[in-house]
Amino acid sequence: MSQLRTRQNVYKLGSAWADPILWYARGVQKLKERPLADRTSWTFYGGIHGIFRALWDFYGITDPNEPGPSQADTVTFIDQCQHQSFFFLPWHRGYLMAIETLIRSEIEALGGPHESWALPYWNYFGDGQNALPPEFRSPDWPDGTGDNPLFVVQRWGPMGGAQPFDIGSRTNLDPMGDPVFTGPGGGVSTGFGGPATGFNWQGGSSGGLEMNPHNIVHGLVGGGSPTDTFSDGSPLPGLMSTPTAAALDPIFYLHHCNIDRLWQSWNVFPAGKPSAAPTDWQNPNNLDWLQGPARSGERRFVMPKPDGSEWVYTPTEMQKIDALGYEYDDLTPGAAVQGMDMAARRAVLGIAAAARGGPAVAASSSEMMGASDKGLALSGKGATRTTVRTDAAVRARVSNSLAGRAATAPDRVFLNLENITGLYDAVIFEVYVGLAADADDATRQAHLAGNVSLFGVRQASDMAGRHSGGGINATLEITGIVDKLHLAGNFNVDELSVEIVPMDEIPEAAQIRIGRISLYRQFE
Amino acid sequence: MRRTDPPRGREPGRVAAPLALLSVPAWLLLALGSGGIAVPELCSSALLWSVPSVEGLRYAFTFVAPQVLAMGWGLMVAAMMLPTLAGTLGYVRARSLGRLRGRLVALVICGYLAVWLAAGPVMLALALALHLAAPGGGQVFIAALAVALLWQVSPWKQAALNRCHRRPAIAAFAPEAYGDALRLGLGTGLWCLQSCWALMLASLLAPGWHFAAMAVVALFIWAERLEPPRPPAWRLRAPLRAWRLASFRLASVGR
Repeated sequence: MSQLRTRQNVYKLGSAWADPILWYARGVQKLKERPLADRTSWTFYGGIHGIFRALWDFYGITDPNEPGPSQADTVTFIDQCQHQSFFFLPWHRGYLMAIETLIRSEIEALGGPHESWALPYWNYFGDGQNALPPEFRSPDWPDGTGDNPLFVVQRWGPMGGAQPFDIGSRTNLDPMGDPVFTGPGGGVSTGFGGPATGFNWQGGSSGGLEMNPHNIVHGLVGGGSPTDTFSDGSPLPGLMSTPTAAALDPIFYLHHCNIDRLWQSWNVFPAGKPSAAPTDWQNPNNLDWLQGPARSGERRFVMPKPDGSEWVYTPTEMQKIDALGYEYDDLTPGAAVQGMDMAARRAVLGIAAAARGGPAVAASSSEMMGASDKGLALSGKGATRTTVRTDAAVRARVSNSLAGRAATAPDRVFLNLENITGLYDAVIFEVYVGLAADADDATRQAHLAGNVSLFGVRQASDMAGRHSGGGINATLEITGIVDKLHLAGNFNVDELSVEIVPMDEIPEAAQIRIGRISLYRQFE
Repeated sequence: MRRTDPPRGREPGRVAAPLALLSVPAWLLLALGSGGIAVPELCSSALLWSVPSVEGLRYAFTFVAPQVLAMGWGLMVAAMMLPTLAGTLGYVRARSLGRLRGRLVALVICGYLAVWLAAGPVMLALALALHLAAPGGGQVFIAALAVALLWQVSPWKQAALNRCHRRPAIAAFAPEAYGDALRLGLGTGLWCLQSCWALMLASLLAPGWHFAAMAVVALFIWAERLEPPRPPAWRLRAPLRAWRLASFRLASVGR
């Protein structure tokens, strides 16, 4: 075990520009010197995650005349990142492994500490760590020279600079309390790790950890240009705001190391944490996940090694980080986790223990309860309000379960924003449910279903994309809000209000549209 | 350790049931039918060699009545095309209220079949006319294959295939939900027709081995629907995912 390389907290390296981050910068600089078509270049690796060449050229990251990856390399490596999928975590773990190995080989060539070096991580939830790490903020190296490869101009979000940001106001670690890796999806829980899919570049519903904090942090760092627009007239996202440019920003890999650390924490931390089912806190053990999308005839997960040859991997091989040769210095998530405590929920609802049913997370059946009559467009600064009609019969079933009249555990309830399409990924908005238009701040907070980041929406809206322009879905658990509405006698209504409040003004040119807003119940 | 499936439950079976109820009997009837029941039997008639004319059509219809042709076309569509509707039906089931689900699924199927059945007279007339125009059947079949190949590599084919994957938002409550379901069926049918008309025409014009030809074409159409959407362009495209899927599973069995 002593040979394990330790991924350390970037804020706890002892000093600014300590060795792990300094050597990271030196490695990144070497990769940036290579052309896009080179499998071991910084931009090629960015393209493995996702490539939007017109945007890269627009930003001057690549030259319009520079050849892209060969056709064969494009088919094999490019546009590979897995989102809105139960492959999200294992694919990114392999991606981190590959770039870490590549940078380590550069460190070796530079005569650095390649044997012990590992990527640092950024735990933005930690005390005093809710701002971009200092090494990434300045265009200068520590000696004052001005080509710091960790610096990126296109970071326009509130966490893209030195200013601390109240991250808890926009995201949380609640998914860490969900013991199920893959939920049923389809309108209800997607689980901690995401819904079962095939190879899924963009489109569909994110898993819990992918949505919070992953997607939100992408948008909080990248943001969007306050002044310029893209050549097609659409707003300009920061690099981190879109999957097709995110991995060009060196902070990307520190963000994803933290996500990877949270996966490891979910698996094993703290040791012996209570579980109600043998599959709790366990990765999927079905072959569809273990063998990856190749099992269903789709693309393999494959990365270039430092010598340019292919490294093919499956989720099976991504499960044990010690077998992969690394560990984390700390597995404490970094913020409070609001898990779903079934006994506490029953007590709140006044349901006698006689009502059987284990933890609510074990429920796997789902049913639509209602939906908005129309979609809605989002633009401007202000709140957009709409209503969701509910079906009386389904609503009665939910009410019965919340009142303890059903012989099962009380239902969970989810709000879905379906078929979100648009041209601008840097949008973050709050969603409120059952809120009166004139509610005060305290009441508003009690009705907050969560925040949604539109990370990946542009590619998911592409008619030639995998989901034929179906967009992304956002699934928000509103069980707690529904419990309160039920107890206050306000749940049994034909329509529930939904209010959407953008963090920043949404330009008209973003063409953000939600196809439908729906309610689903998850039950035993 | 015991493997657990992803939490899909019985839903795939519920999606497949109505399609199987229509498609499997259609395949059986096509397999068992001889003489007048199946459209392809018309195609094997070596007597249909004269130039297209009203007389020629009358002559053709003495061998196979129009209503039998229509029935044969309906069976072909039900057998070959309905299985491609599984993804759309799964989507409608997932996005609908339980009490409306059966009716919405039926409306999608009706809309989809309506498009294909409406296209039947045109497709059959075209097939018949081509038969009447050319002696034998081999040259017409080869020409139809060439047209199908050209269509397969065209950007219009890819655009239609892409649209077959589209899943627009649908209303939850009646009557709007009924309208949306019917529109979804009609729309999917139209894009499917644009995608597959050339292959269907070629299978109509096969000079022999009609059942086998239909089976091969149906399998190909199902396999190419597994491919993810791509930007429309002139491009050779093959159902690689189905090929890899079969290879992977065969290799797994061998291990």
